[in-house]
Amino acid sequence: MPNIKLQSSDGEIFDTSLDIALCSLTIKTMIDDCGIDEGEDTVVPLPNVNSTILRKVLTWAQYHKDDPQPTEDDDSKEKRTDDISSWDADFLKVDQGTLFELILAANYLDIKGLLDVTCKTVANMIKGKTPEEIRKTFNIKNDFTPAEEEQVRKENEWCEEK
Amino acid sequence: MKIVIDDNDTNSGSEMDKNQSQLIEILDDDEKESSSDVNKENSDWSKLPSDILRSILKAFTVQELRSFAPVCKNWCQEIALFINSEMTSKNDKRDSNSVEISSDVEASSVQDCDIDLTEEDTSNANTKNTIKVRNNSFLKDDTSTTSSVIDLSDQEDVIDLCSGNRLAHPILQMIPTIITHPFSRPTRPTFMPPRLQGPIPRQPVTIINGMNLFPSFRQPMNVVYPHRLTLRQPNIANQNSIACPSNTAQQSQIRNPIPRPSNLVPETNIRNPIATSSTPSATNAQQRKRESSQSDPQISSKKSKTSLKVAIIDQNTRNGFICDQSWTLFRRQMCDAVLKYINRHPNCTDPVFFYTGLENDRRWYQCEDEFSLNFLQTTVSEMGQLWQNAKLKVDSYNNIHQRSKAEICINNPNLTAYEVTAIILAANSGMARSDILISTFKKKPNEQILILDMTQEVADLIKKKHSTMYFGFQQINVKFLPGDNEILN
Repeated sequence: MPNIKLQSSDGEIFDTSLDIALCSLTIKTMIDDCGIDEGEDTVVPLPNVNSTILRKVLTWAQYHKDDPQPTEDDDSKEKRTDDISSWDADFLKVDQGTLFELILAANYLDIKGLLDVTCKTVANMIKGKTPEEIRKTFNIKNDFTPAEEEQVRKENEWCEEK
Repeated sequence: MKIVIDDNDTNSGSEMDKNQSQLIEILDDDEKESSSDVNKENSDWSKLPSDILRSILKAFTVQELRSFAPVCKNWCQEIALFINSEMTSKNDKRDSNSVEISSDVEASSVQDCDIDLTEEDTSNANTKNTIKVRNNSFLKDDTSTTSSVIDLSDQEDVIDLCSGNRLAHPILQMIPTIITHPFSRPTRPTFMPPRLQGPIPRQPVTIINGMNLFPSFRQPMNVVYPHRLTLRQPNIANQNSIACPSNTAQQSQIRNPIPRPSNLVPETNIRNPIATSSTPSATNAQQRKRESSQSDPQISSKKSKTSLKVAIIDQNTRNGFICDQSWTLFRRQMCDAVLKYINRHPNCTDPVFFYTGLENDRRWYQCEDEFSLNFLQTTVSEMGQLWQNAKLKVDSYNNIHQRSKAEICINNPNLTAYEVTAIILAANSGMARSDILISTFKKKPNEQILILDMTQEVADLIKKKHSTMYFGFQQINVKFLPGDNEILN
């Protein structure tokens, strides 16, 4: 399989196998659209992904390159968050900033598998927490006024089954 | 720096794992060095793009989502949108499994139909599957009984009573039944018609509370009377088809808020034929009603007449009047709320209330029971501003019809009745425009007498202020009248 060069936002060039790069539908589209031929020394720029994150993404893609492509049926299945493989769980034991960047990168590069697993990780971090705890965990600023927050709470109390 | 990642050397499982772990370790070291590359301060989780946030939200139930909705405004908004879209998709799924009444079939045409599923000419190798539809609405006149035979021989998947294949013919798709076969198949006493699979070619109509949920579909579907479909067993072993006993046939009813003729007794709820299949004979609401009426029929009848009748009013308009346009908006919103409730509580009782019309400028609802009343009140209070300056409230029949009468003496003959009410409202911030109704306005040479109908709450509020209100250098005195007779005189 030929190699392809990917350039991160900070200028670093990653020479990787084409089948790994093609995990990303964005890269695949770019290659298709630009008509890059095999053996051509073309660099694919990825301005939205920095080198640290791109390296991680490529590591993930390398490990999962033989996984079957997720189908649309998978979307309709009931979502679970406890089915993350141990490798993925270890892989995603990173700080929140990295996790955040990984999610953005997976979204930008259109790597469904990575996006799913990162989102599940975040979902697991949220599960069982109160809004206050979630804010603390993710360093989210509470932008509700006390009255607004009270209203939202009230509205949602009504919906809770008793 | 140039990094080469090649998978050529990492094909075997364990070796690959080792290499991976080495690579991760290396990367971890690299990360330590270049941790500044990822700006943690900029990882603003509150501003996650909506598609990503939705991917995260997928993992949660509606209840869980609502529990953390107050995290921040962006999340709250996304959660609301996500829940709505989930509900919509669930409703679509539900509709596809529910009974549908197609646009090209009048509702009346499916009422009181008997359907005979027979195999014609069993001796012939080319057995023909047919369905005979007879309209019982004509049965009173024996001579005019109509029937039609639908040939299903060209249908690929004709209903199969034994295997439960899908219903193919549009007429069959309208059968929301549990069909029992006590005679022919004793080992399979009951089966459910299979769920309709695949896309349904016609647009479904769902009727809840008299409203068509699909606004583009403007068929006159408001009055749909209960219909009963009896499916007779196929002609097996040269026996004549035997009609299932009526109590074993599925009996169904389309929830219809519009008063039905008294001789038509609703039988079951068609809202979700699958869910209602376990209790095909009566709706939960009817059960509740029956239970309550058995326990205390007098109280029950009183409640149904008075306390369960409520008006939806806009407190910012005269008499709480809601114009037609706003009313349509309100009913759509209410319909959404009912659907949401039904989706959230598939096994619970449903709120039942129906619009009885416009009376004295007010829109009236009749609730089936206390629970429905509470649901209506809660939903209306949660609606907030549906349109500009809307202030919706559920006002009880008793509150409206047992208002206090107050006489207001105004020393200034130049003031109009509306100016006086405006003064009262300005002096009492807790009051709404709809709380006060001008009953009589008499002009005298030096003063004016204004008689107002007002709710008990407002009367109490004014009494607390010693019945005197000031405006500028003048004042108005409010005198409460003892009863209706005095005013009428």
